[in-house]
Amino acid sequence: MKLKHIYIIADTEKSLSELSCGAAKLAESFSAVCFGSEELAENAKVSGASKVFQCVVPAGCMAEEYAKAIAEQIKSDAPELVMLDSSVRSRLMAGKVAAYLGTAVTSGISSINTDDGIRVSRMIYGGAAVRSEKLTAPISVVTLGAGVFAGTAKPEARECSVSALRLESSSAIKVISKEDKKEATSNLAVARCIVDVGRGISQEEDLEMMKKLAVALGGDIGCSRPVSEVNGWMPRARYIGVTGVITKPDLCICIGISGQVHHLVGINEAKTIVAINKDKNAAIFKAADFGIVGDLYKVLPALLERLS
Amino acid sequence: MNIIVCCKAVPEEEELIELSDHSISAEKANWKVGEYDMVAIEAAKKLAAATNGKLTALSIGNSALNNTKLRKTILARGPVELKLVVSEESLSDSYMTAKALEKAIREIGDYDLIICGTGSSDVYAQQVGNQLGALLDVPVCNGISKLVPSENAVVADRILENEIEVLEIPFPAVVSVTANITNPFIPSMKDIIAAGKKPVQELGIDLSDIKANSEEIVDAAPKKKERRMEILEGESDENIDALVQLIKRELA
Repeated sequence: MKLKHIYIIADTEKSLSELSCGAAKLAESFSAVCFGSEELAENAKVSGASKVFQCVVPAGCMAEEYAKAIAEQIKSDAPELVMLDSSVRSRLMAGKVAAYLGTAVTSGISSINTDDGIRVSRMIYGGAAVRSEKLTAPISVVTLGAGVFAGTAKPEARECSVSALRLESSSAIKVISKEDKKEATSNLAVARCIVDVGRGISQEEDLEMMKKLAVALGGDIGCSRPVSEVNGWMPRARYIGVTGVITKPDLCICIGISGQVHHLVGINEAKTIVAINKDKNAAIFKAADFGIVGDLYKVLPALLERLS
Repeated sequence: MNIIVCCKAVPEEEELIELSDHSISAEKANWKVGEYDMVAIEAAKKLAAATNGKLTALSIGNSALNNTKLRKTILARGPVELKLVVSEESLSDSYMTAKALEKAIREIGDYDLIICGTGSSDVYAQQVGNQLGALLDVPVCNGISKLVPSENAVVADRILENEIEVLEIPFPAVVSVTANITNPFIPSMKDIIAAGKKPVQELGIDLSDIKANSEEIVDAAPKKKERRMEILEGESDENIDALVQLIKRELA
């Protein structure tokens, strides 16, 4: 059964597009609250929303300060559901809006169904379990995990009203400066082939070999959390797992990966998993389609030679 | 600076048991302090030390909190005291937990900064700090990767997806810190023994009026993809050839 009305809150093009597809699928109509550029607000007008609310963020102010004004607007329309993406900013916005609405945020949901009330599921215990529940608040708030509405058709534009939300109070938190992150981003989430590197490698220089393999296969390179966060050998955007990137490649080649559940969550959707590890008892072999128990410093050069 | 760090006792995920109906049970599991909370405790300890401040730990949960070892785990890492709310009321969502913490904080009264971890290591909603700040009606921020004391405020780095913000957050405030703001502290035997002498206070707070926002909660084992588990031993030419064949087939 379709819901009557949903609110979506978006601050990027990608988020607006995914949330509007989802909202149109789940509800008869939806409203879009937008932050940031004029362009985003223009796109929101043709997103299929019946109402668009623009929020202009004054310099030195955090967008999340709008939460109270948004919550007031939401209350007056009483939708059944509010949806956001799972970015850092959206999470804070979701938490504040939900608190003002007197309800919880169900975060990073992996599925949502409205046939019998609003039922959602999400990963808990670092991927060791999936929690399903039925949301019961008059207005529920969720943030979406990756790809919940992948493949959902883009809704037709509707006639819509456009208004601006006003920021009532001045910001308590001052934004002193903003800087683009220098750290590299990655496209691991959509890569077709991934070379996944774990702590079985002994030094940073050895990554060159893994990069060569990735290039030879037309793939991308990722790693386990310790390689990025403990050793600092790869940027954060390249670590795969429950708190990192969730991937779904055709082929994932795990090199020196032990196979902890936190990491496996990030590669479980791979069509084929290959493991190379010298420890034959490593958990990764139980999660692999094909494996070689052997020294990666022997296997990899031999592999590269045959592939080049 | 007067700091309160919030931490949660969670079941050891390695000790969860899958029952015959595929549901997951934590009944046999030992309880530990969440790994992201350990990071928050250390970040809070450093900030307190830098400002000659006081660090109090606060935890709300079930009878797992009666475990002396668990209490020492928290206290050996820097807080001078531990405040607890022990209750069998289930706090099954972020709002319930934030509401319970709000009650406890109002009871404690005085604070400059409340620090939470990025998320609990069981439910990992990453929302309790955000909601707590809104309920207390004080400045609140998440994703904080650096905290520098300033006059009646902290100057904080906040890591977003594509940018880094530098913020001035006036007191009183609530922040959630990232999992890598610092490394968790490993206490010495001396720290652990000293922890046993630190005060622990149970707050008498009634949580029975906090309502859940969901029902029919079921925790089940994730559906696992069947894997072929074709494992070859050794680095022989045949094995490498088999691997090359497979890679070519998969990427054809």
